[in-house]
Amino acid sequence: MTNHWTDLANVDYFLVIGSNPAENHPISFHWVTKALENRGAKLLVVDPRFSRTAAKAHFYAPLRSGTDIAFVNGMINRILENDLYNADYVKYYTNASFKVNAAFRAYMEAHTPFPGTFPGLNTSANPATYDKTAWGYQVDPNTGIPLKDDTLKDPDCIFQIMKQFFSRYTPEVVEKITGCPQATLMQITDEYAKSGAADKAGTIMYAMGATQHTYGTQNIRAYGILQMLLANIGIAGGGINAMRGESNVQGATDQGILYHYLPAYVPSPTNTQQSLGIRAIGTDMVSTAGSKVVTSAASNFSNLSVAVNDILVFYAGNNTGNGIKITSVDSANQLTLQYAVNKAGTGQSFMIIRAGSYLAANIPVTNDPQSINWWHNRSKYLVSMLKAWWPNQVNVTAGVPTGAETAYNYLPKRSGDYSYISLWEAVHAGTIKGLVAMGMNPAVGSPNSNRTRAALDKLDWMVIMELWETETAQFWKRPGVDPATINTAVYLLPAAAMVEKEGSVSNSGRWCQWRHKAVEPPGMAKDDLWMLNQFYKRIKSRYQASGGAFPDPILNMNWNYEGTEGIPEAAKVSRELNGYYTADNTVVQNFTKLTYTGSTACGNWVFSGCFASADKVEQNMMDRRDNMDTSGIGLYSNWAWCWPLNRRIIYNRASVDPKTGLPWDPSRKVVQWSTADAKWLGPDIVDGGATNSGIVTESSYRLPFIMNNDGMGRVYGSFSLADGPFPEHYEPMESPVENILHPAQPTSPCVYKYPGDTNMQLNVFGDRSKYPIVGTTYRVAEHWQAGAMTRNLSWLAEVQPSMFVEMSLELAAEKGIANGDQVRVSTIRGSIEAYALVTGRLKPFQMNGQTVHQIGMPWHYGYAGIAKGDSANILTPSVGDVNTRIPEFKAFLCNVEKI
Amino acid sequence: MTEKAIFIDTSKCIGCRACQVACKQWWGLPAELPAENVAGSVQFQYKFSGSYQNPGDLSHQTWNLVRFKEEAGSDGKMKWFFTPDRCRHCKNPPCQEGCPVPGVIVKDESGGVYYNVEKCGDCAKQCAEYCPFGIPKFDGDIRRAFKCRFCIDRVHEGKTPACVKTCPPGAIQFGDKTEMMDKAQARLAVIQTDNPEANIYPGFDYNNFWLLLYAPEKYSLAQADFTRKEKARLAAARTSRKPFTVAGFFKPLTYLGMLGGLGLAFFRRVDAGKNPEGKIDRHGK
Amino acid sequence: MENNLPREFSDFQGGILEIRSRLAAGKRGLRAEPGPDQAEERLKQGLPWLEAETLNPDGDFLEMAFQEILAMVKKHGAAGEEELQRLEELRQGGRIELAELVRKIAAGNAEYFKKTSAATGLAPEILVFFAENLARIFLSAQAEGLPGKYSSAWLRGYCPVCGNEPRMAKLERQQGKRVLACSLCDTLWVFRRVECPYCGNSNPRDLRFFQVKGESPYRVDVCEKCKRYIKTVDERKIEGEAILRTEDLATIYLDEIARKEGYR
Repeated sequence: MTNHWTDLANVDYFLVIGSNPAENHPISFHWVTKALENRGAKLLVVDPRFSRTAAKAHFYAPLRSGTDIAFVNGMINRILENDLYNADYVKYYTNASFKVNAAFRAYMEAHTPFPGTFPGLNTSANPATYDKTAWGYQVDPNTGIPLKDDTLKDPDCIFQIMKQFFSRYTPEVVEKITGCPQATLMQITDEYAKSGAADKAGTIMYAMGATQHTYGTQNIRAYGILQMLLANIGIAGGGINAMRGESNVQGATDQGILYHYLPAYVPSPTNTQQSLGIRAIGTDMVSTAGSKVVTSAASNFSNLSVAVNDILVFYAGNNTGNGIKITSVDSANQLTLQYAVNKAGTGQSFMIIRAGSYLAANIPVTNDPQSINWWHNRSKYLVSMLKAWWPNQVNVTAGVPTGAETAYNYLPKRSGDYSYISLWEAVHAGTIKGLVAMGMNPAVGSPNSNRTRAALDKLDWMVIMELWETETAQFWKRPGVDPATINTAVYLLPAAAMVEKEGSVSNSGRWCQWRHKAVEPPGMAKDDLWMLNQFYKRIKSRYQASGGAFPDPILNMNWNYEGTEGIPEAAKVSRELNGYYTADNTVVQNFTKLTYTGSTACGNWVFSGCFASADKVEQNMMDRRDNMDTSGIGLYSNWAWCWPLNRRIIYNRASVDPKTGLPWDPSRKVVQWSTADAKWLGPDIVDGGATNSGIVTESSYRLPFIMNNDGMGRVYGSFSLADGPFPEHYEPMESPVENILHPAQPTSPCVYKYPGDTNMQLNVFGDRSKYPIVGTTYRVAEHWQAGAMTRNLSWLAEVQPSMFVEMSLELAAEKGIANGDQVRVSTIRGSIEAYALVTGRLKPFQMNGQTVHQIGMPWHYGYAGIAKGDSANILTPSVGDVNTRIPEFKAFLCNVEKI
Repeated sequence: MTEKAIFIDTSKCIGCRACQVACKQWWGLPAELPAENVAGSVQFQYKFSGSYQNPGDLSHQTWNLVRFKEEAGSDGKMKWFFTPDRCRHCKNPPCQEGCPVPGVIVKDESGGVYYNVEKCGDCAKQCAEYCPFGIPKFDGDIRRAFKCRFCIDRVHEGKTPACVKTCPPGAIQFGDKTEMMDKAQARLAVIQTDNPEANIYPGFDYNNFWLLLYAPEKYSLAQADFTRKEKARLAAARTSRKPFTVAGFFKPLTYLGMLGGLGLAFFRRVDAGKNPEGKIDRHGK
Repeated sequence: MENNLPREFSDFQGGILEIRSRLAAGKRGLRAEPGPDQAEERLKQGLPWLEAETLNPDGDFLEMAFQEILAMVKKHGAAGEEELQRLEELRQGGRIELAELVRKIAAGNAEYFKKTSAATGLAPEILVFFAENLARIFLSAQAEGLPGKYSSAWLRGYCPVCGNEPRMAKLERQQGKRVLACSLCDTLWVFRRVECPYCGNSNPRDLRFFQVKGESPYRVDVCEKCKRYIKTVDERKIEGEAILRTEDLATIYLDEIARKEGYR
C-alpha cells in the first residue's frame, strides 16, 4: 500500500474494485466503517458479483470478470473529457506534461484505431517483447532533461496523447465490453471524481481480483493513472492500496521471496549481467557549467579502468542522483560525458559503472536536478547486502569495496523464467526433482491443479512443513490415485503456528509488527527459523565434508543467528536486516547511512531502521506498542515500525501545493514545508529530503515521486512494464467474446506460453462454443487460502462446510438447476462437482447484443480436512500475468450442468 | 452495576461470522456440522443449506447465529441482509415467568438474562413455550434450555461480551443501557434520512436490541409473537383424551362447535344484557 | 374436569390468537373517531370512547386480516367448505360487508346477526366468529391509545373503549383489585368487588362465588338477581401475568359448571 490500514478512516470516497474487503480483509472494515459514519464517506463497489462488500455500498457496478481496464479506462476518459481531473496535481506531479518522442506519436497517429500493440513489438521470441526505446521521452540534447509543455496542449505531450488513447473508452463501448450499464459507469465516475477536489480524498482498495489476470499489472496501472488524475497519491485518505492476500506476504516480498528480486526489491541478477560493475569510485569531480568535460585528478580515481559507455553516477554534491554516460576518456583522466553537467560542483562523490554490468542495468539515471532518483542508491544497498552475507569477501580498501565482484559472483543468475507455473513444468521435465513446501499447498492453490498434482507424483522427494496433513502432504494417497504407483519420499515436518514463534509480520500497510511467542509448539513441531537454521548447518557441513559444485557461497556465508543453547533468534536476523557499521558492529540508524564501500552491512535496506532508535543505538522498533496518535490522521507513528523510515504515507511530498508548500487539505495534513524553518514539518516523515524545499520555484525543490528517475508520477508508463505505457483492454486468454476494440489482437501480445506437453492442457484454451460461461474464483470470509488452516477447524467448517458454485437465477433456469442441486463445472482442463448456490447476486451480462453468463466459486476446498470439496483450481488456466506471471485465476471459460 | 445493553447496528454488519465463532469459542460450544448427505464423498459429504447461513437455526449449541437473506429490491437494487440473531434479553422475560423452577432463570442487574441450567428440573419446557421469539433451545429430550448468556462472566468482570469484542466493523456495541439507547436513537435519525423504514427492533424494553433498515422479517429475525405465552397456557389446558361434549352448549366437536364455542356465548351474553331500567345504555342510546 | 381442552381446539385458537396479536401490534387500520383527546369527555359522561356505529376500519386492512383468519379456519377444518363458499359469494355480492360486521358486533347487535343468518342461510356462528375476530383486531389496537390502564375513574360494568360486556375478571397481583376484561377488545378496567357488572346490583347477599374443590386460582362469581355469572382468576395465586382472553378459553369447563348450576 502507498497508505495504510488506519488511514482508511480518512477516506471520503472508497473505490473497491478487484477486491472484496468486507469478506477477505474484514478488519479493514473497522476503519472503513469509521469513515462512513464519521466522515459521511461513500463506498463504491465494482464487482461481477454482489458481494458482502457490495451489500454495504452506496453504489454498486457489475462488470464481467477480466474487464477492469475497460471500466477504469472508461472512468479515466470521462474524467479527461469533462475536466474532472485536478489540473495542478497533474501538471506539477505527473509526467503528463512531458513530450513523447516523435516516433511514438507518429505510430499512434498512423495506427488509428489503436490495434492493441504499441510500437516496437518483437514477436520472434516467447514471450514477445517490446523495444521500449520507442516509448521514450523527448529529451533536451544539452541538459538531458525531458522536454515538457506546461500548458499540456502540445500534441506531443503525454496529456494529449492520453486523451486520444482513452477516448475510445466511451460509456457505450465500456458497456459493450464489461456489461456494466452506461448510466452506472457514469454515476460511479462522477461520484468518485469528486475525490479530485483539493479537500477530498479517494482511495482504491484492490486485491487479487485485480492482479490475477494476464494484464493484472496493467489493471493496477489504470488505478494509478486514475488516482494521479484525481490528486489522490501521497495524501491522507488516498493512495493505491493493495490488500495483500496473506498475513505476511508483504514481509515475504520485502525479503525477496519473489524469484526476480533480491531482498528489498533490488532486482536479482540475470545471466547477462556477469559483473557487479563498480569501475571507479572517487570524489571531487570538477565540472564547468555548460561544458561537456569533467576532470578529476588521477589520485581521485580508484585504480580500476574506465571505458567509453560506462556510466558516471553522482552520490554527493549538487547533482546527487544524476547519472551520465561517458563518451570519451583520455589519459589525463578527462572524461567527456553525453550531456553537459548542470552545475559546477565540489565535494561531488561519484561512481563509475561498467557498461553491461548489473549496476549499469539497475542504476537508473536522470539529469534533472529536481529529481532525487532514489534508486541510484541501489549500489549502496547491494554492496551492503553482499557485505552482510559474505563479510570476508567484501572489504574496504581506499574507499573501494574490494571483493564485491567476488561476492556478487556468489549470487545465482537468472537465465529463464522461474515463476510458479514454470517451476511445475520443470518438475514435469525432470529438471527439478525435489520440493520443499513451507506452509504451501500447491495441490489446491495451483492453477490447473491436476497438472500440479501430476507433477507432485514425479518428485523424487518432498519436504513439507505444515500444521496439518494438507492435500499436498497426502498427495500420494489422494482420491483416484494408487499410492503404490508413487515413488516420492515425503517428509512431513510439523511446524509451529503463528502464536508459537517469534518474529515480525509486515502488513499490507508496510507496518512491521513484532510478535512474541505465546505458547510452546506442540509435540515435535518447530518454528521455521529453527528448521532453516538446521538446513543451513547440515548443508554446510556436507559441503565441508565432501566439497561439491561451487561450495564457496555456502561455506563463506555469514550465518550467525543462534543465541543461547544453539537456538536461532529472530531478533538477530532483524538486527542484520537493519544493518550495522562493520568497523564496530553498531547498528546504523537507517538506510541513509548505508554505503557502497563495504563500511556498512545490511540484509534489507527497506528494513534499515527497524532495529535502531538512533544511530548506533539498538532498539527493536517493531516491538513498540504506543497506541496514542497525535497526528490527527491516524498515523500511530509510535506503534511498531513501518518501512521506509517509519514513513506511513509514501509520496507524501505530493500532499502539498507546490506553489506554496502547504497541504492541499489542511484538515488532513500529512507534511508541510516551513519556509521559516527551512525544513519539512510532520506529522509524517517527509518523502525525499527534509531540507529540500516544497516550493517549486526554489532551487532546492525536489519532485515527490522519488522512486521514479524522472521524479514524476507516471500517467504514461514509459519503460516500466513489459506490455505497454498505457493500460489497454485485452480479453482474458479464455474469453466468451471477441475484443471489440481490436479483434485481431484480442489478448495481450506479451503473454508467455509455457512449453510443455499438451496432455494436461497447458497451452490449450477452451473454445467459447463449448465453454460459453465466464468462470471466476474468489475467497470467502470464513476460509483461508488453500483451506488447511480453516477447513481443519470445526467452528469454521461449521460456517462454510461445503464447496459451492454461485450462479444467477437466469442461468440456473436455463440449465434446470435449483438452489442446492449437485452440479458439474467443466473447463478444457478438468471438471469439478459441487453444490449450486443459485442467487440474485449474480446476473447475466448484456453485452453488445449478447447475453453472457458468469459463475463464481471459492477456491479454498480440497480432499482433506473436516470440510472437504473439489478444488476450483482444477479449472483455472496455466497462464500468467505478462509482468509478474501470477496466474490468471480470475477469468476463464467453463460450462455447467446438473449432475 | 449499572444496567447494560447490547446494541447491534445492522447497517454496519458485514456478515463475517466473527461474532458467531467468538461465542462458540468463549463458551466452548461444539460445532454443528450439517447432516451427512453422501457418506465418504469429497464433494457432497454434508447437506447443503442453500445459503451462507450455517447452521440453519439457533440451537442448544449455537447461541448466536448470523442470518442471511437476499432480496431483489423493487427499485432494482439488490439487497443482502445480515444480522446476528440471539436472545433479546427481555426486560420482563416471559421465559422466567414460565419457568417452574426457582433460580434457574436469572434477570441480572446488568440486564442480561441467563440460565443456571444445572438447576433445571422437571418442566414442560415453558421457557421455550413462552418466549415470543422462540429463543431457548433444548438438547433433545434433556430438560435444559440454552441460549445467549450475555457473556455474564465477562460482563461481571467489567469486560464486553465476546461478540462485541471481536466485531470488526463495530456493529455490535455494548455499554450502559442509557448510552446504548442514545446511540441507537442518534444512529436511527441519521439512517432514516436515506432509509425511511429503519427501526429499532424489538424496542428498548430489551437489553439486546438492533437497528434495522427494514422490517425484521427481511432479516429473518423472528417477529415477536407475544401470544406464545397464551398458546402455552392453552396447550397446558388441553388433553390427549377424546374430545368432550357439553350438551346444549357445545355440539360434538364439529366445525360449528369450534366456532360456536364463542359465538353462542355472544348471543347468550347479549340476550341477557338488556339494559336494566335507569342505567344509561352503554352504547349511548 | 380441568385440563380437558381438545388439542385441535387449543391449536386452532392459538393460531387465531397469534394472527390477532400480530395484526393488532402492527397498528394498521386505525382510523379512530373520535380521537383520544375527545375520549376524556365521553368517558366523563359514562359513554364509551368509541361509538360502534361510527367505527371506520381501513378496508384493505380488514380484507387482509379476514384472509389470514380464513386461512387458519381452512387449515384446521373449523368450518365447512360450502359454508365458506357461501360466505365468499355473499361478500362478492356486497350482501355482507366486513366493516359492517365489525360495527354490528361492536354494537352488540344480536338482531343483525340473527336476521342476516336467516336471510342468507349462513350459520350465525360463522358470521359472529369472523365479526368478533376482526373487531378484536381493530379494537385492541385502538385500545392501546386510551389513556390510563385500569382506569380507576370509570368503574362501570361495560368497556370504556367499545362499550361491550366484560367476559372475565381477575384480582390483580399488586393490590388484589378486581379488574374486568372486555369481551371484545381486551381492554382492562377496574371495577368494584362487590357489584354485578351486568346489572349493577351491589347487595352482598346476592353476590356469591363458587370454586371447584381443591386449591385453585379460579372461581365463578354469580349474581342471584340477574342470574349472570363471570369467571374470575386470582392473579396472586398464579405465576406471571393472567391474560384473560386466554384464561377464558382455558377454563371452558367452568362455563359448563356455571350453566349446569343455572346461571347464564
